Amino acid sequence: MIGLSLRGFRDRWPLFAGAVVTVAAGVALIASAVTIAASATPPDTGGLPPHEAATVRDAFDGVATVMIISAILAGFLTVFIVATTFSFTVAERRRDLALLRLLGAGRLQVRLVLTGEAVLLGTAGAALGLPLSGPAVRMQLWLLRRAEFVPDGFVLTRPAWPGWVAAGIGVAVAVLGVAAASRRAARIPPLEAVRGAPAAASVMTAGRWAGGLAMLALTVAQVVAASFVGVVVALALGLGVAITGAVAFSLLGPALLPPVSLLLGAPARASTLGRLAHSNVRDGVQRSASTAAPVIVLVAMVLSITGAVNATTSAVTVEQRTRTDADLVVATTGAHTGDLARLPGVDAASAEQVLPLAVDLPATDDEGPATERQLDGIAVIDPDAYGRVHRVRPVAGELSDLTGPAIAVMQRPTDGVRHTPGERATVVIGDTLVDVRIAVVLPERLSGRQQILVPRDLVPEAELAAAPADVLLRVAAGHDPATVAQAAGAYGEVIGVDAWIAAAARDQQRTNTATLTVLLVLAALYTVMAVVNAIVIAGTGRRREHAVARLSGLTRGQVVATTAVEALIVTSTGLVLGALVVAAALAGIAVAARRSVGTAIVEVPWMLAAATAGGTLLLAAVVAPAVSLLVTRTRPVVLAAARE
Amino acid sequence: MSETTPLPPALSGRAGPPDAAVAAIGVTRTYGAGATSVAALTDVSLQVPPGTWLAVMGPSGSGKSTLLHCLAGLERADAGRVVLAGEDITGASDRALTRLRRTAVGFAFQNFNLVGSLTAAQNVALPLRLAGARPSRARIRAALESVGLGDRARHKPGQLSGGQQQRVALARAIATRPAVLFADEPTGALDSAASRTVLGLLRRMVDGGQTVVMVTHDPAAAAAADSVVFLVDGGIADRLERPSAGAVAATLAGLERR
Ligand SMILES: Nc1ncnc2c1ncn2[C@@H]1O[C@H](COP(=O)(O)OP(=O)(O)OP(=O)(O)O)[C@@H](O)[C@H]1O
Ligand SMILES: [Mg+2]
Repeated sequence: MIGLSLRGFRDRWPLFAGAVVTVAAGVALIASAVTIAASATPPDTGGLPPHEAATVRDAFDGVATVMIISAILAGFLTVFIVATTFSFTVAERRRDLALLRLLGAGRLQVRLVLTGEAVLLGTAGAALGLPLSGPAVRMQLWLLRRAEFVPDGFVLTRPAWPGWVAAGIGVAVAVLGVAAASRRAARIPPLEAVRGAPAAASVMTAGRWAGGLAMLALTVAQVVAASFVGVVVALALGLGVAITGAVAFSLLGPALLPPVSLLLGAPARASTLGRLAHSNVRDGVQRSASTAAPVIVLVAMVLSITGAVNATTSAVTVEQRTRTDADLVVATTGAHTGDLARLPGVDAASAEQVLPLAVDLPATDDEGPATERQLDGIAVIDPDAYGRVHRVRPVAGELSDLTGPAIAVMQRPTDGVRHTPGERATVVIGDTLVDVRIAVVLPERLSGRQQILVPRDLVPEAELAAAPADVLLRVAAGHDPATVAQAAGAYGEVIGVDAWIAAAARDQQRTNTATLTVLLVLAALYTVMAVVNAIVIAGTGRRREHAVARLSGLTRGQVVATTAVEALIVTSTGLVLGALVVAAALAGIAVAARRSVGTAIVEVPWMLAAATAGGTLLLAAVVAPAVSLLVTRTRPVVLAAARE
Repeated sequence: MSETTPLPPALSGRAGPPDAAVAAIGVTRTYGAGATSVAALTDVSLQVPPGTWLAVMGPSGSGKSTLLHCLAGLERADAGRVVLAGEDITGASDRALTRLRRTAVGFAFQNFNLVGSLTAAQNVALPLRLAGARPSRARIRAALESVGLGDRARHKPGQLSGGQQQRVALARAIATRPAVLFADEPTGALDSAASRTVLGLLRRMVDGGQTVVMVTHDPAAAAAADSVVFLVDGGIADRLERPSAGAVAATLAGLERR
């Protein structure tokens, strides 16, 4: 058995090369992600004030989380590529496998042969990948640093165990990837070895239809559900639609490919070679669909998620604009609030300050009532001035109720957080605990910057005066904002309120964007490997077909050109189907935004879309002809005459 | 013309006839259903005594291959029974059939007999290895030498001619010693010299006790066998014992004229 696996692997190494490289990349990335995650243990924060300690802990946890997610993602994507490779090889070797069965191999033995090949593949990949884990660590750290994700005090430790864990995962992932294909191989009847022409297995099986349509239904359901929930789910929606949509179209690929390629291949059909290329696409529909699938995944993932992040940022901005009624923002300290309010032409001035406060809010956990300490999203304000520059419509209570020991709290129904006026909470100011009443409940907002409003009366005057403050100014009718801005400039930097809102929204989305960048770079890397792998496998399997084409009069150049045109048709079909998935995701986000902020927001990342499309087409245009150049190296007559 | 041997009476008993290496009892096989269904075999009964060579002939599409596949347990009969090496395989499980394929049946076909990634010697040893045995090198070498390919043990199928590949398949049967060797047009792709070599080898194997069932279109090949059955439209139309090539050709011509 082992001997058979070894020979199968050796004879088909060009087929397996892509999968080996993928496993190697997977092992290197998993090793490096686990190394970085293991290094991200927070330093001793005992001596730090609670706010800083929490920030440090969060930063380290963030690094660990992102790394663990990317390790899992790498594992999954590797399984995907290994599985594609083996399903190709099983389809190509049906006759050989049937012959094994004919000569007395049991079903289990057939599975063992393929599993043995997977173990060899996994081992080869792990052996190649381990030495690459050093560079992988450097690359991932570089990426994390670029995204400003690495906290100060991060020290990389390099124990040996992540390498071994990753190598084990590499082999396991290869074995997992072969499972479906080997099950299919075990069902090949021995009779297939002796029939003249192998029974052409129908590509679109009932299971494939059912799976594809179910995924499509799930995609539509998500878009519909989004219209009821709102933009808070935009990210989950972008990711969810990208995954289910891409899987749906990949499954339905063999059915969708012919009509779509008919449209896209129209210009190519003007020439004889183009017509040949186009009929090859339709003829090898399984091969074409397998090549298009990773393109669909790439486009869907990258563009849907980017679109979701951008739309969320836009929605936050739109929301803030509609709820803010100010013209200028001055970055100053609490000491100058009074001066700014007294400037000529200033109608209202609201100082909003972030101080090292904590608030213990009532909450319920598994064991009943509890308190939850909140450190972020607390703003110290003057209720009267605040009400004049913000359009606030509380769910319960009025801003004017914020007198004495009372605070305003935002409810977050999507997270199951609700409050009622009269509940008690504790504000922690330095060493002092102030028992307060929840007087006002604010509606949920996308921006998490002002989840709790603490009236300035609760904080000692000296602390307020020393702390930084953003003072929002409304210019009185008939006064020139420029003049007011110039006067306000004496107390700090002045910017327009729109710029201030945009900057704040960007700031808030930075962590999201950074996380996604790290993950998307990884996902893109994998799908590019998958695209190349599929093209290489499809190309190497066509040695004989090319030989026959050359015997019937095509020159080597024409054969190579035909495969290039084919690859371009298949890739653009993948791009179009991927774009449909992106359209669904963006539509979902648009209706969600309509519900949250009243306007449908569509953010199409055009630049990225153009780069993705151009990059994939270029890749196909380079790799496909390169493979067929290699494959057509031998003189055709040798191959066409060769027996199997 | 020759006499037709009467068909054996329907056999009852649990096992098949004790003196048959393989027997078919009222085997029927229909492909498809409804208007487009094809009756490939209808109520075919025959038995092949051990150590004999049966040739199956008939026009194209008459059901020869289907009969061979049913006898070898590759295809299930819709009705009737098949008894192979003393075992009723009519409703046998995949596991039982796998075991039979390892020990009781050998195959030689027109094409695609050998695993492309294995050498000739490895191909010869494959069924034994799949059965968990460790055949000695000497045994494999002897099998290859008996078909005249002692010097090609390390060649892969791609490096052998069609006739040589066919001889490797026979060497495989010599090494495995199956109860029945099934051959579907084993000389179909060979020139007359290579055909004669293969037929000579088969005769030697039969004389050594091997049972052979062979489908062929070639009267000369059929004449090398011990007996010949003729299929027409899925049924046995005639049977000749130890015929000459001329008698076979004449019978065939007679059947095709009907
Ligand atoms: N898998 C199948 N599905 C449907 N019909 C089949 C199938 N296999 C064989 N047949 C039909 O059954 C009949 C007998 O076929 P079979 O292959 O046994 O013929 P044959 O005698 O071996 O012919 P040839 O000499 O051409 O090889 C034919 O009509 C054929 O079309
Ligand atoms: Mg036939």
